[in-house]
Amino acid sequence: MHIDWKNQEIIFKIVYYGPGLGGKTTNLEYIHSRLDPSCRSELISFKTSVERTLYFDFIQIETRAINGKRPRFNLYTVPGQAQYGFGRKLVLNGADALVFVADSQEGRMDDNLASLQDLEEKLALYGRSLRSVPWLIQYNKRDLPSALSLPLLQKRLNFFNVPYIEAVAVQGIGVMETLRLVIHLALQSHSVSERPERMTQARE
Amino acid sequence: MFVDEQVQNKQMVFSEATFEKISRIVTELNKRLKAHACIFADMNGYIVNYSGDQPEFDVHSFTAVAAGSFSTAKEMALMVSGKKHFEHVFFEGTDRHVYMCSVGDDYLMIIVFGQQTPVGFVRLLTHHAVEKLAGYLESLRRSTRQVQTFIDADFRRKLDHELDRAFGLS
Repeated sequence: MHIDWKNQEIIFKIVYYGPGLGGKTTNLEYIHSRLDPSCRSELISFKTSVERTLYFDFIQIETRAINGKRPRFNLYTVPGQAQYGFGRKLVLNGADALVFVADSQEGRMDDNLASLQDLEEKLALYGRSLRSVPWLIQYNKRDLPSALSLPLLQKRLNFFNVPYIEAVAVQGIGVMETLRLVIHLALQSHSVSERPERMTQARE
Repeated sequence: MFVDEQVQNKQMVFSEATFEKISRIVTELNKRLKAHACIFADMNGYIVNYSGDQPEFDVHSFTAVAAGSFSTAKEMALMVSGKKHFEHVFFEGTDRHVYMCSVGDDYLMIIVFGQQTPVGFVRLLTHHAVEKLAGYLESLRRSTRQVQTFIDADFRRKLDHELDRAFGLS
């Protein structure tokens, strides 16, 4: 969290993590298309020639001022491909909360697990861990025939019993709900006397 | 309301008095350089202070991307020389240039300037400003004073309402 005294703004950093082609950029693209331009920046993407994320995607959203302070949220994705590990490490620095975008398809479970392990390793570089950082899982691509059942996904990926949301990001299903929930988690972690609660049910 | 400085896990919260001092340094630098923008930011790309023209570009997004670029250069420095970072990074454009240098380990100064200002002059004056800022930040780092925070249940409730409105979820 960062305070911009000059403009009386509170800025949070939220990072979308997960395996390549899991739908992280699609989440941000939907958010960009859905929100009124008055409360979001342009979507900035660094892409390779084959439309894969090279460094990160970035968009900033804001709301009206609350108690004299305007909240802003910097949303980043990380490049999912294995060779861009250093970019993932840089983007994770200072994150207030994370969304792990998991691909629900059976054939992607190894990639999901590898990405989760990579996330834990990158967090450790900053003295943090999946137990200490506020995060949630978005189970994406729920519309595909090869998607695993929710109980199975929970068993295979949600070791820490973090909040989760089902989504079909290309259709916008679950995208705004994910954003709202991760913002909620980020705020809870910065509250005065309240620690983040462990939430085991997704928001309907 | 924040009333004092906090130094915790490398994150600093500046008091308004501290902020004013930083602001004076950044404004003076911008004035002397006749730059388009002088941005003092942290390495995560958050603006601490900004001085310059009414921006024709999105300063927040620009700063986030610039910080990412500086971090990339840092990794390049490690790879080629084993050094922690390059002292400064300079992007030369046709009519506007960008000069960046680190302020201690956690902060960054970004200058956007035009053809009328020689890059050597930018380096020189920025170096002086950075020295002042670095010394000042170091003294803050030794501080252990605590801050109060304003993110409470009331703030969260109001923000939830604002988000519902902005996201069309209400």
